[in-house]
Amino acid sequence: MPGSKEALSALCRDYWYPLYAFARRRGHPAHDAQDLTQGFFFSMLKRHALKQADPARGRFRSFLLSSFQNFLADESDRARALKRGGDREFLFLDAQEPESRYELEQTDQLTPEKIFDARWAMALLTRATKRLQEECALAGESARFEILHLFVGVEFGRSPPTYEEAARALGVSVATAKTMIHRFRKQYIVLLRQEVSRTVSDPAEIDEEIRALCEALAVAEGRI
Amino acid sequence: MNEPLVTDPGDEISACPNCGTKIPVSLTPERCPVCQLRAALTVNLTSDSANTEAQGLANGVQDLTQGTIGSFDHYEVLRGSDGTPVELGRGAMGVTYRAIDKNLRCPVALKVINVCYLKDESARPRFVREARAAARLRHPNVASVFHLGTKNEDYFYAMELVEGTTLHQLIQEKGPMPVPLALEITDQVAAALEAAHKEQIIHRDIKPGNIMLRFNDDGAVNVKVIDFGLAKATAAASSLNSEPGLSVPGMFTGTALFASPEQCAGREVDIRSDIYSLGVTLWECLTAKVPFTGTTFEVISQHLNSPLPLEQLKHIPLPVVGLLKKMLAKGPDERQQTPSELRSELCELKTSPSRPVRPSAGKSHFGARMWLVLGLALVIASAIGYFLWRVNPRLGSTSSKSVAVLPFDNLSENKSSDYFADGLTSEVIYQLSKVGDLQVTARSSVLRYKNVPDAQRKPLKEIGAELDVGAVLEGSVERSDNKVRIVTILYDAGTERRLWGATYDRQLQDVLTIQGDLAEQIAAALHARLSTDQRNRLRNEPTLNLSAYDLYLQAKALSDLHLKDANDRAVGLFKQALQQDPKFGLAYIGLADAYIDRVKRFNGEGTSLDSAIDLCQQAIALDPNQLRAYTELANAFNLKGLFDRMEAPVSKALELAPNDWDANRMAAAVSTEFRRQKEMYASIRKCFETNPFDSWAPYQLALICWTVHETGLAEKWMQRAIDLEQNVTKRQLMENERLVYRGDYAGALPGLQRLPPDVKTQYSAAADLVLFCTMQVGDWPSVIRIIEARADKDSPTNLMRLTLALRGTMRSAEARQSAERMVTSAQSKLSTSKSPRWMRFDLAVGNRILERNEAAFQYLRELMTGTGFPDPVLALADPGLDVFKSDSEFQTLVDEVNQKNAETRSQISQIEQSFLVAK
Repeated sequence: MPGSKEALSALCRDYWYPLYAFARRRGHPAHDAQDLTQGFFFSMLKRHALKQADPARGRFRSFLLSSFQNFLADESDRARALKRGGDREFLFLDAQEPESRYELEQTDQLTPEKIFDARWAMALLTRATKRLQEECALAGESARFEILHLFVGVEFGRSPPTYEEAARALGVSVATAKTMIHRFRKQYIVLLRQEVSRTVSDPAEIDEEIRALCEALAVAEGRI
Repeated sequence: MNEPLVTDPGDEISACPNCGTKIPVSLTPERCPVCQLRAALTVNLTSDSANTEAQGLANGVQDLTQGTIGSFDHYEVLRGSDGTPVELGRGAMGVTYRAIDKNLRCPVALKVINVCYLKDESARPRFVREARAAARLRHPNVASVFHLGTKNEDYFYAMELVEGTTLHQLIQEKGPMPVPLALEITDQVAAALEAAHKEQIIHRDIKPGNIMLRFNDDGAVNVKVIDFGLAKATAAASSLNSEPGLSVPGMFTGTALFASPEQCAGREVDIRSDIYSLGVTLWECLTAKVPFTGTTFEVISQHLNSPLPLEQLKHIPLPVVGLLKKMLAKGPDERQQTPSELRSELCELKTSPSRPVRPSAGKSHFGARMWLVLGLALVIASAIGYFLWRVNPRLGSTSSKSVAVLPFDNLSENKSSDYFADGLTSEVIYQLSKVGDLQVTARSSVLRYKNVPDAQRKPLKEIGAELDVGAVLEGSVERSDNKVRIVTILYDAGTERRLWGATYDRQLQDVLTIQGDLAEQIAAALHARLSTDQRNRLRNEPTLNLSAYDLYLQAKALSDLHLKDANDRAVGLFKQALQQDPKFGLAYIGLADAYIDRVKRFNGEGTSLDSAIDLCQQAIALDPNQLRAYTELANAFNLKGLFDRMEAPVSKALELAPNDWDANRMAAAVSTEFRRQKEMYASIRKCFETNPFDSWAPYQLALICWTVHETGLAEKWMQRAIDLEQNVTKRQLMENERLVYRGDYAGALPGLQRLPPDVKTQYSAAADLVLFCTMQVGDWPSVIRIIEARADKDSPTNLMRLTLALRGTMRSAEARQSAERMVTSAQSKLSTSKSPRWMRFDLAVGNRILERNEAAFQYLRELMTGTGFPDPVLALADPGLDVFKSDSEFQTLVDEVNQKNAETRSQISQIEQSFLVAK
């Protein structure tokens, strides 16, 4: 579990979409779901609740979801009118974006919990791509990243180039390009595992968590 | 005609060619999220990735030792609540796991070569040979092998997962079995061997542990031989395939207890060796003992040299003893030479027991008492129906008057008119449920047979057995413009004989009359009684307006998706249908159902229920015999908490359709509220009959059985419920919940703590069970922590728990204060609380702690002799009641409860008997 508040905020920012999708699937209209997700993180930070994400208590994914469920239950007792904007925005600057993402998606028969898990898996994969981007930037290899990242991760709508195209863009032979892609993929996988390790309390749970995420994706049948 | 609203949501989805997971097409296979995640598993992080990054990352990579078992091709090995793979068995060559076929989403048995064999070069071709041999076998008495694959260096094969019990377990549990049953099992194993023999395959490890049994409802047994893992192609077959035989003379691979003398001696074996092993198996069936015991060496030596201990068989009919002696002859030449020969002897024994088995050597004598004994055994066999049933509650009354309507195939060119075929299926099911004399499988249990590719369709016999029905209706719908063609065939599920069939080539308009006609014809074909009233009801057309009907079918298809957006659209369409025909009763009910769904699933406003009630009443006004209007009305009352008002619609629904799933479910809801356990059991038991793939009924039945301490039956039902539960997390919860009911609180706790706290079954939440077990193990400091962290920590029941914990940690003064708060709070909430039973419970416990015994016992009596406990299953185990343990009055009340439980147990037994008799 990351220690600093910044790291936690970052984690929340990266994983807010799964929670938002959960609220939507629970039947909350878009703006309510935004408010609720935002309100949730705000209350978490205010209460320092993330400290309760006790490393001895298992997975961050489950913790976040169950906290959110409790929050939703509490909220439904109160008036649900949380105002948007204000000082809470620091968490999600692009609050409009998730809705467009959501609306593009197919409806399906998944439960909110299953949706959440599948989205969580996708968020993890995306986060690993971000980490890779940061590392490439640090190493002064941003240009390389621009080409190679199309071979990993789960970014929609952009098909990877052919090896030949990649080789041309990288200015290397096809064989070298293949090797680079292979290494890049390995690097990505290692970061992915690291990302998973940040959301479980015990390294021994990493594999179990990965399997659970695979199961969630299989159940989602592509509606991710 | 309106534009169809149901589109195929799978347009943009394709399957990853590597793992089979469905992914959006925009993610090319190399970016399949599942493959990428899998690559991050320990087992897949190969050494070449051990760059600095990898070394720096979680030390866990090295710590993990159990990463070697995971997914194999498109099979994923299932894990138990403790995270370890679920093992089905271990053989000489490999371990068999329970796994899931991720493409077909069905369970399979997956055999993986034993790790210790990996070092052995000879093991691999042998393993492949076994799988190939086993895959050639296709026989009803053999568990089929259907996939052979490799992963990294490992070989694995997938085979049919046979649910049921092993013969070994049965004998362990029940002891010696009646002769006819033993002969029947032997005969079916022999049939498997017969098929194997034709393929020149021998099993080499026939033993009770490799024989799976399933009992049908009429007590008939179905046997499957599993684990042809030691089977080897015989030398003859090998030479045909120009591959060398892999026999390893002298290498003992079978189980010594069941091994033939030639196996023990390390000589070449053939099918006659299996006959010997089957003889030992039959011996154990009859006596619950094997003929030779001792150390492996002693057993081998006895198989080779010692005479059979025939005195163990003194109660066994002589012809059967003769058969056994021949099967167990030391020399293969003296035994039955083929499984077919064995079968014909078994057949003679079963049909004409006066004729002796032809001895191959020596003479046999058959006493006159043989008849008597066999006759007696047969009587016993019929009497053991109940015994058999208890072995495997795959039960029910397979009556020829039970029918399952499989989802109609949509043969229309326009696939988007699926809703039409689906709608017709639902309507035919609904029409048939109105025939009181018929038992119709509920829609949710037949849905699993929808859209199955032709090649993977199960034989009707199998479907009939799975659904426990006597007849199966298959159909197809083809719609083009204003014409519709409906083809239906009704089959006898036992024999696959065609009972009735019809082709309707009609104008679309006629579809409104076809359903009623279909239901009437099916009822006639199954000889179901149909009263004039019922017949007239079938002939009532739902509407005369085709366009309204089409809107209705579209709305119904959307509504059945149980999604928020679809629900909104369904409501709109139902309303349109009603505008077109304000007398369309089913549309009122459909709309009511959609409103109810809003409340049940989408946090809808409670006023939706009032609308639903109003709509149902309108439907009833239009047609006082509209079955579904009554069940939906009851459903709405149930959700509103108006339990008293449920009784009338429920009894009317049951009068109209005594076997209807919804009607019985609602009846169960009423009985549950009023704690009428016998009625509850009877209603839910009927639900199980018509919806055998739904885990709800067996789970509820298990709870009732545990409540009244009918533990054996409870275990069977719970196992059934767990087997049916599709959600892995819920299944894990149920497995741990079962431990709680068994009283193994310490054993349940770790598994429960690993689960997400909010995961729920229909009855229990993981968090609640964690709290209960934590109290049971006396870990009071943790109890305090758990309650303090709860949002509703000040609720009377949480205060009650807290009080107990404070007492448990010797903080008496605080405990007293807490008890005072609890009593005051519970008192004020008693009249308005949604769970007055808990308030009474809290008041009883609180007052007793405060030594206000009169008040305490008043509440306790109300609970124990009146309203019933809030949580009847765990009631008497609740640590709250410990405060009463020393009171004699409490003991008297407990005795009364126990007395009542005993009555319920005998009532349950009667109900089960009635289901047996019905078949």
